[in-house]
Amino acid sequence: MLKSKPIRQREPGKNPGLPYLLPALLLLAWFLTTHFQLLPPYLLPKPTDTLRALVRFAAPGATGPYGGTLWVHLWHSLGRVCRGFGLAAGAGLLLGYLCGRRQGLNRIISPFVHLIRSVPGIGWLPLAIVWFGVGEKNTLFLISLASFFPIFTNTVHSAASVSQQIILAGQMLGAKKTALFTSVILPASFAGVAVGLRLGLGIAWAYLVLGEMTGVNYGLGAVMTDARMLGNTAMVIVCIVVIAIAAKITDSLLLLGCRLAAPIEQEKAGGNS
Amino acid sequence: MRSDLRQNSPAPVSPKPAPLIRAEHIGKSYTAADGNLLPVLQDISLAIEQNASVALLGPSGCGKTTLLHLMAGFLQPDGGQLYYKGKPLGELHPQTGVLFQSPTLFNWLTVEDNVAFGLKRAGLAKAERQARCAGFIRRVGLAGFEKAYPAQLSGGMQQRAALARILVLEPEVLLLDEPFGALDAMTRRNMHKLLFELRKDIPFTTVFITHDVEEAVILAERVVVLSQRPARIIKEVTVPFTPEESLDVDSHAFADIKKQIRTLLEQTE
Repeated sequence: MLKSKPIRQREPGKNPGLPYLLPALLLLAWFLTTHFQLLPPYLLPKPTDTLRALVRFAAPGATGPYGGTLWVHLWHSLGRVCRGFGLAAGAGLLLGYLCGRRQGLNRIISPFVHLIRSVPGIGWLPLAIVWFGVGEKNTLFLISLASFFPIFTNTVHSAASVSQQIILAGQMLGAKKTALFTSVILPASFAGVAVGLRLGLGIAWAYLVLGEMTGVNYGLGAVMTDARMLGNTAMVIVCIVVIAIAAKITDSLLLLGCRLAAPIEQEKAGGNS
Repeated sequence: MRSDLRQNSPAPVSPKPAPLIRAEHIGKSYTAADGNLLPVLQDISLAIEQNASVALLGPSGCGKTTLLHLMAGFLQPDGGQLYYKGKPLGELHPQTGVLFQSPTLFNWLTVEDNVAFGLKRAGLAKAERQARCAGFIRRVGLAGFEKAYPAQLSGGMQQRAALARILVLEPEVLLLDEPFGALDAMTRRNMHKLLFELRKDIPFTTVFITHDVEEAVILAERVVVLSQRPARIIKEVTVPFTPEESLDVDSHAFADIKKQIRTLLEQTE
């Protein structure tokens, strides 16, 4: 006699533990590799040593190499990301909306932007050093240049994709010029623009490290370069972890900001589809 | 109220009020992809009286929507002239509302905020806006859905919200661009009833386009039959029904008129 299988309570793929599976395996592999000394410590330090380095880095007033200096470095890095991303977002949104809504302007600007975009961001580094020297300005230039492109491209596309009928509806209901932009075009295009902003912010962190490695006094990239030259691999890994966490937090904050600005898009509307 | 108007219009002795919308020898062409001029409307002349209900009936793709968009001021004619209350019709004017083929609600706003959109643009205070919107939302049968987003509503409910969003501005003219075409038969009939009810309370002129003969006979007092593209007017047919009679689609009188119009329409093919 056939017995029906008991219905599984949890759908496959919905297990909340799944996102942690790979990091856990990686950590295990790391632990085993160092435990059996498959790699020398200068290539791969022990997880416990790395954790100790992180705690020392973060604990205020801790002594030893880089003791307690996390916050000052993070503060400087965060400042650079915010300034660079701010510049890129300002220029990207402004030009993006202009090009998205004005066909003539788009034909002038977009081909040129896409030409420049095809140069990998790192290709600008030598020129940036010549123009701005090493350090602060050069970092800012690299961050804002690299994160400008996804913001611009997504904004142009989203602004141009607002349906003509929605705009007619807005005009018919009395929205003109500025009001039409703020009350119809802006919210109608917002979801796509938000994607561009998130991509831009992610790239801002990537180019932060590149810029900071050219030589600044404070910043996570500077710590990484310094630690690498001193052979302190644990500190390099610590910095990677800190950057990953910081980038994740800023991304979540940006997403939260976007949801507050346009509360429905992602969640409520999506629940119906 | 409606039947009074109807008795007035055929009587030649009563002084005829100036038509609300008048089209004189309207022509419109588009430039096709190959660069050739594609005529869409040819020598259209018609007059629409205040508070009338007129259907523009024609085969699909005949240029009906273009004619409606000209009346809305979205487009300008190549030749001829449109008049609104005797004055040449310029660009968009606030006395005209358009109900589009799809509901075109603002999907980032709740039903309530969609309906309030026009009043907000007009600069009405919040309390006043809310009071007026609540009334119209109730009238179109969406009470209780004020806080819902368009994506949470059915197609029929979305069209109701779109209707409330326009009527709250108290337009003189409502232009409807096959707005019920995507709805199922039952929902469509409810929308027809709703339009009758609304027009009983708040008089407004309706001009709507459709390719559905039955819908034209139900909703219109006058059906303007258009030809294939380029559209010209073949004939105007008066529908001598009261609203109640219009909704009785199974009556003989209804079938007769429907047949008469269908024959006209088939001659154009």
